[in-house]
Amino acid sequence: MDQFWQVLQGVRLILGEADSWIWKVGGLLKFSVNSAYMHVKRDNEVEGSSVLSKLWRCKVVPSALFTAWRVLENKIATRVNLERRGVMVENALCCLCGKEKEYYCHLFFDCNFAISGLECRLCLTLILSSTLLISG
Amino acid sequence: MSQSLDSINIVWSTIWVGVVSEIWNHWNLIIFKRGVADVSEVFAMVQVKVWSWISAKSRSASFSYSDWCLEPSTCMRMVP
Repeated sequence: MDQFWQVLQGVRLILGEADSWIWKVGGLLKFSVNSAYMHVKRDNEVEGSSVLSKLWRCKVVPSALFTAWRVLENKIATRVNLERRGVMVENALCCLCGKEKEYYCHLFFDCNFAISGLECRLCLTLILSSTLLISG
Repeated sequence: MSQSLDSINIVWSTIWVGVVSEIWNHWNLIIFKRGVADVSEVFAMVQVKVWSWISAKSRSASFSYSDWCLEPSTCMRMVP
């Protein structure tokens, strides 16, 4: 209660002036897309990695690019992720091999279906290109 | 030399995106359309899609689909 009172003490009401919204970011008190973008960008700068900036340079249709981005950020709707979000799934086992839990890394890099069936052609591609994507 | 290395790099990244998105598409096919897991189909689709993406997005890279299947590393050097 005391804290609430202290907060209220700090508020100064000006007579004869209507309430209005102000935009605190950027110091101009007026909203601009530029200031909002800069604000969001500053918060994400720590995470923004060269892998992602490399990803956006790929010559790929946006839908595939979006899928790849979701995979890298673990936002893709695998059964484990669906379960975590509270969606009803029968079980969290991988639908391709049926043996292990369907984590995103299992589905794309680890699953026996994904590796053995391609006689290592695809596997090699995956390993080579992911190292290039990360190192380059 | 470094430029050609860079372009190969971009093609590899494109292939990586192709493989990942195609595995995802295949996964959806199996679940929602009761398809059968077929790895060679995934591989073929990746070949087709990556070829079509690269030849559509970079104009100076003009190689036929058969060249892309037979000599992928030569084709990669042609991508700017």
